[in-house]
Amino acid sequence: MKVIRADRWLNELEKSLRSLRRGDSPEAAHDFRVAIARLRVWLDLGGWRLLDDDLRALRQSAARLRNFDAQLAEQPPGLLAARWRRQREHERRAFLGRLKAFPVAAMLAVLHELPPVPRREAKKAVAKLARRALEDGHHLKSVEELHVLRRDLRKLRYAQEWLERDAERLSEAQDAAGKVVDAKVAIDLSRGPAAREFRLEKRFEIGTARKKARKRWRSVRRQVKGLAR
Amino acid sequence: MKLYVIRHAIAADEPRNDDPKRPLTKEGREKFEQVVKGLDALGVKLDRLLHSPWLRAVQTAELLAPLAKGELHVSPHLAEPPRRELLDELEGDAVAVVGHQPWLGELIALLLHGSADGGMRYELKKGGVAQLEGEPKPGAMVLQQLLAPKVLRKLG
Repeated sequence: MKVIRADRWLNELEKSLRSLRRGDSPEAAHDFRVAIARLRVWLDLGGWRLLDDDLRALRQSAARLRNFDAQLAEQPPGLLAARWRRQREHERRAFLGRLKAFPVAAMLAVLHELPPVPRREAKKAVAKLARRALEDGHHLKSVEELHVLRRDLRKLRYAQEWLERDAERLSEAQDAAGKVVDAKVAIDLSRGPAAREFRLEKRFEIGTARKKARKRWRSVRRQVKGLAR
Repeated sequence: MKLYVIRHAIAADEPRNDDPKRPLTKEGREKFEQVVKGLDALGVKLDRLLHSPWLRAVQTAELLAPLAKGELHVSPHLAEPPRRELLDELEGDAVAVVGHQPWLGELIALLLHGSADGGMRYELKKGGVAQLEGEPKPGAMVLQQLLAPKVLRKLG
């Protein structure tokens, strides 16, 4: 494959948008954000700066909705789950309100019209993404630093997948970093005495998840160094 | 605000039945790269760059991106006659809009004189730039300079 086309993930973005508007899938916010993240990496591979700011903002607009979906999927205790379901529905409507401010049709039109990315250009972009991950993975003390590394690994993994290369170990390292961040999000979303035990549980989880995340990063770092050349 | 109103670079004639999809020609791209160097030589630094979703404007905006230290945004309002919704998007100290004639001429007339009538008096060449200054409201801006692409290429 000499060029990389965006069609598949453009279709996924359009499909997830329809699903979000209908409100008929608990995975729609996740699918929406994944499609946008993959398309941003595709733009990066092509060396395009345009649309990145618009897509970043669009993805961010569904973040809170996605957080609720992710936490509800963990099957939290009864009262907390009921509260989060109500908040989730409120957030879905708020997201649809925010969506009206985005020029979504124009963004999709632009994405459909951009030419495919030459593979040789994509490979140069992968090296740049790998170098960024190595830089950000130097110190991993705080949850915020793990969040940044998770983002870098996700971009690098998507870039490898666009090139149809194996990205399993990158995916594992990304997921490990993600567990720390997700535990922190769960704590932030939990309020009140009913959630006290849940919060304690999540704090303990952060400790073990952090160790696993660092271990996974150490195991994949050599691969990333290879990509950075 | 300094507002740079920029017409897209030279574009292909095809596809004739699908105007929004006409890309820049090789000549258009190369000439506009020189225009960007000319703008750089003049010290143009952009807080915000808005562009129409039509391919020739998208590609022109991408060439301008190195001058933009702030954000780039697509605006469907740059692919239609100028309206208040477009003026509401103009925020920042140094903003560029990349779009199409005759609407850019109408935008200039609206900002200078308060009405889009007479927009044909501001015929921007492909790759040409008009620099306006003031508040981005009807009749509240002043024309600082009209730069032909040939002049900007010489400066670059």
